[in-house]
Amino acid sequence: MSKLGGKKIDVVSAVTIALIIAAVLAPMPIAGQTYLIQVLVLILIFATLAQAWNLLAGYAGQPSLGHAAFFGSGAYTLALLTFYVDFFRYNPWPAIFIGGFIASMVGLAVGALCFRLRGPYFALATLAITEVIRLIVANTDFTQGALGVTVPTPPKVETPLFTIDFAEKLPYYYIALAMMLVSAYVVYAVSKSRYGLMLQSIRDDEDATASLGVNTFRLKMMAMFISAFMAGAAGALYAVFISYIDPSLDPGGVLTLFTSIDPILMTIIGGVGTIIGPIIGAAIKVGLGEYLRVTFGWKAGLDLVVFGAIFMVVFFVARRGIWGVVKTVIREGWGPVKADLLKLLGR
Amino acid sequence: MPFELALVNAVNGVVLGSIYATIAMGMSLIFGVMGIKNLAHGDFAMLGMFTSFWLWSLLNVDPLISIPVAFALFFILGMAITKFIFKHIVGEMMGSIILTFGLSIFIENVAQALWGGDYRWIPVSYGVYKLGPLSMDGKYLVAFSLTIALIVLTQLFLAKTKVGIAIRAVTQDPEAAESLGINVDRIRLVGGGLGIALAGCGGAILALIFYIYPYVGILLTLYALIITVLGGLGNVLGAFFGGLIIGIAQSVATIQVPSALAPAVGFTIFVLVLLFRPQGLFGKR
Amino acid sequence: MALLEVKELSKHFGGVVALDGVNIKVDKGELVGIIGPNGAGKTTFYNCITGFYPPTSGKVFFDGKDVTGLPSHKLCRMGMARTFQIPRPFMSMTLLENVMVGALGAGMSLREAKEKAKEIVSFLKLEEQANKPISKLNFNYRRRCELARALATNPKLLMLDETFAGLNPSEIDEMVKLVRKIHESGVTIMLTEHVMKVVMSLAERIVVLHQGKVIAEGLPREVVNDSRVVEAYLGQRIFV
Repeated sequence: MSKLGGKKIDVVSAVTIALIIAAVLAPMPIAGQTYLIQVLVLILIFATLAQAWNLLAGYAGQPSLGHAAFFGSGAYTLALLTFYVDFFRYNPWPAIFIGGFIASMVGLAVGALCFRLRGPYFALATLAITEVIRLIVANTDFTQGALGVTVPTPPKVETPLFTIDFAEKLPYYYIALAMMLVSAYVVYAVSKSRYGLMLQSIRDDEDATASLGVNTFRLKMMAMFISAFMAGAAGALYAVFISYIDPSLDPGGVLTLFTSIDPILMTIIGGVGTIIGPIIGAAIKVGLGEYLRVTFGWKAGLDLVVFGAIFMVVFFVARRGIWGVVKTVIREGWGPVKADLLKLLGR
Repeated sequence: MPFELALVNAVNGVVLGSIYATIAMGMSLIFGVMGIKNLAHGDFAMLGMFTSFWLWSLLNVDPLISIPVAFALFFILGMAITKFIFKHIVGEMMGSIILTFGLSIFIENVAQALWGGDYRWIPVSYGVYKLGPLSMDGKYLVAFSLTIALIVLTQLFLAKTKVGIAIRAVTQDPEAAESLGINVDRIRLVGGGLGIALAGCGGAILALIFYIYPYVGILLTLYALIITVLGGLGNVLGAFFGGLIIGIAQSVATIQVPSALAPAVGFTIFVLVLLFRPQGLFGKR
Repeated sequence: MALLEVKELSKHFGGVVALDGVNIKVDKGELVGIIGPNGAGKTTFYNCITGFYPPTSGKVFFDGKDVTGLPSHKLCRMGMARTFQIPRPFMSMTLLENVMVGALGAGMSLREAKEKAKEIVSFLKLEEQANKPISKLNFNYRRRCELARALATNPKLLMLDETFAGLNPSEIDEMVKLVRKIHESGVTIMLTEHVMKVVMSLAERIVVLHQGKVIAEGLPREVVNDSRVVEAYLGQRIFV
């Protein structure tokens, strides 16, 4: 909570608006470079997923290792709806909301089962449940099993002024941008509300919070609902964007362990418990991942070797996450950061 | 027929489960002595599997010899990892998860880059034996006996030797141990070495009966995590029983359920246990 | 009518009997002290009636209703608030925010909670520290924060758990004044304590617990001179 006067807050708002405008205009000059736009879309989708995880884990203190369950539920909901129901084949956009909703239902079920567990036990339970879901999806005919589901390209939208062609990548950019901004705003609004303070207190000490009259279970379910919804919506958009999803364990899959861990990595790289952290983290992780893939991908796995190495080094140097470091430097100068580095070397 | 099928599956399950349990014991040990959740643990087991494989494939070394070699090798590796990496994150929950995750990605993909993703197998044979009405592949018997030997030796080490007792003391209360004159840093080195050695050696044993590929580490880490929690965090013997339960349940379940879903059985049991006994089967609250 | 009535409360942990048929009554407006040597069961008693774990047997009545085994947050909403022996503040927040959470628990909006928190903060003379992160404040202030936080829930009954432990004499005097002030504002208070000087000066009535049983009850001066109480404390130092 910023305690400085109105002046600083105005600067933050101005910068935010400027950034949003920049983001809206950014793809224009590079509209022709579909690869770059694609990377940007992925960054935005995963930033939403990371933000969703950030709400449940960073603010409410429930370290979920199974967010792929929600992402995947959203993806599969949309994919299966377009597969089985004509209406959605020609109009998949409402399915994004339905995907989010189904994911939030899954989230509530997971919460009802797992919120009695704390810390690492909770984390492992969510991990196990996600894997069970994946295995069921992979072995059930209704979900097309291991074959996966192909999502058709949405038909063009004709308006008097222009045509939106979904065979292009650009429209997805704006949809993903909108989704990312909405998710960031939702988390921001929650964090500033009375619920935000109570979620924080649950994170700090759940029992003490309960002794103050707060129904911690209800609040955690609320956070879960929102978090899972956002993750599901992101998953649904992902399904439309890449046109094919399957339950395999390969890194691109929607129900994989990687998909559960990615938002954690991104949020931590960027800074846990901050709004902008997940966004920066997503940009870094996806951006770096793509760069490495292009540079080192000729030898299978080499890009990830470099990624792993960089990751470990960065961890040693900047534990608070990039945004966390920036915030600390702004507030307290370089002192604490220098101290961290010295500690590392002096050990 | 179905009964014998179930029995054979159960026996396979016992063998697999006990190997998973050995790996899990290593993870439990590392957690106990340093407070670190080693998400790269399964990857060390994977390296152990490859050690056995390459020794056999390139130098024609019988896997039986590779197994103690792996133990020694990974003990040293474990000490190195402890000294240079684990030492920095002692006691940190989130920190250890993140760092070891990065380590895991690193190790898996080094393996992938060096050796490729093909599934490999060691086609040695130790004969077939008849146990009552069952025909057992010698490899399972060999694997099982080696695993049991490893577990028993480890337990004896922890219970009877000075270093072993010191390890247990550090696990329970590092500060008290220090004030009693135990060199906690050195004990952590030994504990880390032993933990990784159990993973690597377990992997070498596993290579007898399981196929070998770089990303198998993820699955093994997952099993180890589940077994450790099932048995009670920090409880080494509990991990053994947890492993047996998982192994048997999964193998027996493959009769009713398509084998691809088998891991789901293990995970479901895990979740159920957590729901009704959050401290694990043998853990203390 | 008694505000709090505990009947035949027992708590077993495996083979260990922590509480054995405890009967305690607290009337509205009282200031009752609970004393007893270490291990007498004071904290177990608190934990049982505030919903941290259910009693093995016995009943708890609050404001005339049976509240045995209800969860902590429900009990708090009904008017029961407690502090913890070792303060458990929310480390990521300022002192004021900590107190606000107490008010939020009672169902107020963010604005109302802030107002209420500010009121309590000045009532307990904590204005100067209100906006400091609690992680930077010392033990004494954390104790007071704990007190303020519990007060913010608008309790009918405030249960203090060894609030004076670890404080130096001048801090104790300050705290005694604050507790008295709270009592005078209409809150019924129950406190467990080891620091006898505090109990003697604050409590109107004292209950003595020993090995999970109530062994004496009455006015402070009577109880302290009761032979059974002295016997129970033999070997323990009593600071009077």
